[in-house]
Amino acid sequence: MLKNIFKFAWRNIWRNKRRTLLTTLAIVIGVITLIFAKSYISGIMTNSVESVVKTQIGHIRIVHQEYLRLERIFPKENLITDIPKIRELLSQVTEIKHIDERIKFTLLLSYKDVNEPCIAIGIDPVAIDKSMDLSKTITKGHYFDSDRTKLIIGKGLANKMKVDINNELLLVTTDINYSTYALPFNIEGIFETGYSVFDKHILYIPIEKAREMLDAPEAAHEILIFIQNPADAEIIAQKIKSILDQNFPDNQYQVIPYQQSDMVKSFLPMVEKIYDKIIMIIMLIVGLVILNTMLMAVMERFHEIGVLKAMGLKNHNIITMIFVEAFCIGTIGAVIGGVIGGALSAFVEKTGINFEQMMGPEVWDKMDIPIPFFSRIMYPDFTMEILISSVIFGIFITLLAVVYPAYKSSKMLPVDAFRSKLNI
Amino acid sequence: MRKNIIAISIILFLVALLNSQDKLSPFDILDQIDKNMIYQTAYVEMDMIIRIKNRKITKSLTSYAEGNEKSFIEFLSPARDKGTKMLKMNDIIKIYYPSAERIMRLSGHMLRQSMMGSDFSYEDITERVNKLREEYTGEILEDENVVGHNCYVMVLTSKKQKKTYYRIKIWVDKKRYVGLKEELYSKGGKLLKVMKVDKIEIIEQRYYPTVITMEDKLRKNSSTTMILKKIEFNIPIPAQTFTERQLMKK
Repeated sequence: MLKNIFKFAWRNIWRNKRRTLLTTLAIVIGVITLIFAKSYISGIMTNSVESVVKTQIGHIRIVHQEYLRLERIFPKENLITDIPKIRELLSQVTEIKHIDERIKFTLLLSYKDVNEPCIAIGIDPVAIDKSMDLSKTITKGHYFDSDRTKLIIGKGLANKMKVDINNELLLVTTDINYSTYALPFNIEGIFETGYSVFDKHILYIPIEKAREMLDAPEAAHEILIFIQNPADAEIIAQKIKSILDQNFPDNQYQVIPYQQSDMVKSFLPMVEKIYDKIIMIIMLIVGLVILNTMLMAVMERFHEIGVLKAMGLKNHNIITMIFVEAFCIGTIGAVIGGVIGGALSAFVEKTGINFEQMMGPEVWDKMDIPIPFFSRIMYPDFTMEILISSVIFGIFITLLAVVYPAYKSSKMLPVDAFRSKLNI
Repeated sequence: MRKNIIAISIILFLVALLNSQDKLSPFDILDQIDKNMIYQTAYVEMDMIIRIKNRKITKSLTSYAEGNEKSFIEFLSPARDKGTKMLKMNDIIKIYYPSAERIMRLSGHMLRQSMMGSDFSYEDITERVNKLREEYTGEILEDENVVGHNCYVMVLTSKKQKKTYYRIKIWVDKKRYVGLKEELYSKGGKLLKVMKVDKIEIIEQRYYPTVITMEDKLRKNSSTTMILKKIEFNIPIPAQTFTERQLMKK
């Protein structure tokens, strides 16, 4: 008998091709949407940590504890003043790949009659290039050479200031002793990292010049450390902390592995929570579409189910038949959706989604997204786990969709089924 | 005859108008203060003491001024500030930095920046009474005592929404016609700055504030005191003082 039921179910699927096609299509589209959305959001999350590490916090970051507390307002005075000694101490730690010292401060930028407050980052051009490939972000002009009276400026900031390469900018700031100090710089290059926050508010100057401007020789606000194996960041940070504490008894320096950084620890989980909710909503919509389509597909067949019952089919036979049908359609749809969605996500993972192109450069330029890792180009992160979970979800929802109609039709008397086709 | 009637009625109307306005407006008081402060030219030597987070930084400077519109300031110390010069012409400030040997021009909202690391902004030293009259509406509150002096208390409210200091509360010494205290508020009612006059001296038969302290409430534990060490009114000012060339001159 069971064999016959299966045969019934299989024939039913092919009997009304249009209905089958439509329900399958709903499942295919649902699964594609789910895979793509999940890959995209997973891409945002992985990209974020990576870009924050590269551009802002390194694998391990050393800062003055007061600096850490006031970081949002760029406290100039809270510097690491023992740079040469720390450098020497760090040379004992063999796991370190490279060190990247930085000075960050706010200043007033002036060109002709245009003034604009911005953030200057004093850098060692060679070291920062190892951390974040800064030289590759230059879209016009050149990266730093040996001439230390030049700077590179973010594209958005350059646009705001209406300046171009070779223009001379005046940088004015208050130093750590509250004196005002100014220096002229020529624009050597214009960079575009793709991160709105950087491109619209930041310029890079050689660290020696930053030290001169702040009147803080041999000092830095932060030391970023990059190591061979990022997973070891927490252990190595502890090691560095104990070395520093031995040599600087007042414990004024904080050593923070990237996993413990505020940015990764508090901001990302918040973003993650928001994205989890978005995924939930997408799953709900996909689920409802499949549910609705399946429900209609079964319910419009109450009449024929009545006939089957009149012919002597038992309730459990009916239920089995409906579930077998749903399983077949669900599996076919979900697998096709999985293949297409997977291929699409894997393809976009390579090419990326270019928001600037999508919105048009004018709109993109006007947008000011205050998230440090919102990039111009977003790369989805497609994994097998996403594929499998989405396919299973598609099949599961399809089966779930027929629970109610299957139960209902099994309870129905053939007479009622004949009388009205849709008696819910 | 008819002409006379018209003339008389106009005069009567004007008299009525004048009578209706005899109530003191805050701006009349401010004008009165300005009269007290007014000079053709002035030369001032002063110290600017910035106190911030247990630190005390003293800057000394000299200033030439002509009326309210023009002034020329030169910093003499500390070493990093020495030679920095500022030229103020109405609402535009030009600053010469010796380290860069360049001039920066500041205007508009950029004048809200802190002046030379102090609690004063460039705007604080450029705003004048005639501008206040244009941009604020005022009312007079009950008199109050400030360190033993009976004061008019008045509140000015900006006509524009976007003004830095949306509301200004001023205490004016009734007898000497000198502002003793000012509180500056944002639109949200947040206290941004407090200015106090710590010392008033009689200079050339007029009351003149010689020690003024400003506290920027947005900077923690910070205040700036201006101490006027030497003041000369109506002295001849060297020609070309208020020029860009003078700024660049070493």
